[in-house]
Amino acid sequence: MELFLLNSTIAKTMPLLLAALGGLISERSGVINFALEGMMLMGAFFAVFGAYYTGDPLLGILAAVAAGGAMGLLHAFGSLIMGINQVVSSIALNLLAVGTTGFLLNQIFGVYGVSPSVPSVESFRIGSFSISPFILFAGVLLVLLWMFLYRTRYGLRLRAAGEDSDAALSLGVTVKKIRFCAVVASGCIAGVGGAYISLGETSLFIENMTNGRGYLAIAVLICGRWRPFLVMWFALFFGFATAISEYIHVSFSNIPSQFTLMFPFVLTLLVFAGFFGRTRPPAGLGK
Amino acid sequence: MRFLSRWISPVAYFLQIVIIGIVVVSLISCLAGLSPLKVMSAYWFSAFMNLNNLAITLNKSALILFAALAAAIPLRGGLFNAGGEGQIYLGGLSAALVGFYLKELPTPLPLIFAVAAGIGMGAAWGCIAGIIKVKRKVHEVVTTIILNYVALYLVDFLVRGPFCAGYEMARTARISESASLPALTIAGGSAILSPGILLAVGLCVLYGWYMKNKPQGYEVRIIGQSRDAATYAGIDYKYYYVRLMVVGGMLAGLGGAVDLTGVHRTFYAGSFSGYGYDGLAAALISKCHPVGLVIASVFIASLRSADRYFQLCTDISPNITLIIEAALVFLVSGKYIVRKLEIGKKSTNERN
Repeated sequence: MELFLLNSTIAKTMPLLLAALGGLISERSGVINFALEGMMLMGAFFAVFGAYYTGDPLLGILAAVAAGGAMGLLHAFGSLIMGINQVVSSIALNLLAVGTTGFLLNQIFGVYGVSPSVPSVESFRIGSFSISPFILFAGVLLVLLWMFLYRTRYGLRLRAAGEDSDAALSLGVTVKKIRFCAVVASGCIAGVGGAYISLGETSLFIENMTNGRGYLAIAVLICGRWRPFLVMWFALFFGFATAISEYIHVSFSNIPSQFTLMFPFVLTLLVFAGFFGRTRPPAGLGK
Repeated sequence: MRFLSRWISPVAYFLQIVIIGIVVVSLISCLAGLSPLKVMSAYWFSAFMNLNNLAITLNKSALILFAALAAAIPLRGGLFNAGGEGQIYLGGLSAALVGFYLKELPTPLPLIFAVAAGIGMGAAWGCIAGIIKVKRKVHEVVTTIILNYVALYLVDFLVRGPFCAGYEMARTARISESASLPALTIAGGSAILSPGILLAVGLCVLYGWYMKNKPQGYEVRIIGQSRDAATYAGIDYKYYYVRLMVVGGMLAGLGGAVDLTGVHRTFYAGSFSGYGYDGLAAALISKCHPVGLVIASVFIASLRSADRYFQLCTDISPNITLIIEAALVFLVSGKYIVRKLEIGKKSTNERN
């Protein structure tokens, strides 16, 4: 049971953590990113696409990074250059991702709904634990992101752009350039999160398989108050709670599956409703 | 001259959107290796050119127009109601259940209660999002979409579980005649035309008039343009935020209830899938302009009713509707591509 819970917790945490860290970069630089869902979905699809054509899941992950990055590029271009409201741009990109992945699934694989199976990412074993390369990636990313944000000058500039863009601009920070890079990086990381969903959890793509996890990641980001390690703890909390609900579902089969699926969303609402104090986003977010 | 310029701006805007739509469709059809002309004529035929198809398109337009209003009214006050999807589901299901279980009552009552139940459930769902927005300052897009998933799974459970009445396809029991909206049966066809579209257009006119002429509509517009100015003028924006979300939820719930009592009369699992987001896209494309809302809703509905035909005849996935919507929202909302329609413009992206 412990092993099941541990593996399941990790499996539920990873996509939330990766997407939330992606969202963190973008939102700390001051750009609202609700397009995480779409970025993950594109990542999930192109991971399968890459793995299908090259036969190598690692190249699939690269394709996912590129696809997520392309979505990030669109979001950055839309919200920073075309001046689209950042929320509107996110909504459009989420629609685009669902549409494009469904369309390409039919055009490329000739099927509706579920793609053919592809080689998935192998996890290596230490003792009785199986450790997926994604975990290593997420851990390294977490530490690097923290170091970048709080220990480098570029991180300082990024946070400044997110807190008060006018003040940052007057001190010579190239706010637009920093935000642009941050949003693209955010897309790349969310793309890896998507690749985990399609190549780490399973080995195929199912239409709309992210299933709201992009929004749960935003909830994790809000609860984690836009701070890397707090975000990690909240991702673990949500992952663990989901794993427990799944465990209960597996061991008591009379509970309908819809309740297990609904559980993380209800939990999110409860956390929002019972939150102590108020959330405090970066002051310049969306401005 | 002033009269002319008042009309030219929306018409020019509409023409630009049509051109973008045609370009996007052509690009996608070329990508899929089909002739754009063939695809567009297939679209035109399967959406409009036959009474049966026209009735289906109009029924879908009604639902999308309700969803578009549900998104547009909060949007005028600066709130994004992305929760139309879940609210439509809940509205439809509660209308189906009330319409079935209250069939003993005298004639107009089951219909009234069914529609009221739909409105009430939608309002409750909108209210949760509004309160979390005001009390906890969580962005309403996040809450409403999370509420959507809760509603979807809840409805799915109820339709497949305790209220399941169909075994070949998960659905609820058929509502009684007394709970159905009177609908027109198309001669020689299988489709029925529900009066929902008239109701939706009527509400749309009411919305346009209210926003323009009533003090409360004016206050909503002020909040949408600048919340700080509204606070300075003594307008309690928190109260309006909750109210706007409740009204949005009511309209989406009403849409689900009207569609259910007017068209299907049984709740099929998954039958309302995607309409909430279509409505949001329609509201964003039309910039909440009342006439634009109707046009955008009919357009998206026509894509929806053509997409099955696309799938059968040209083997294009129905998902192209979403791509077209997304491209339109994206291109219409930014600078440079489409000349702006100055309505409900929001100065900044306020988060809190």
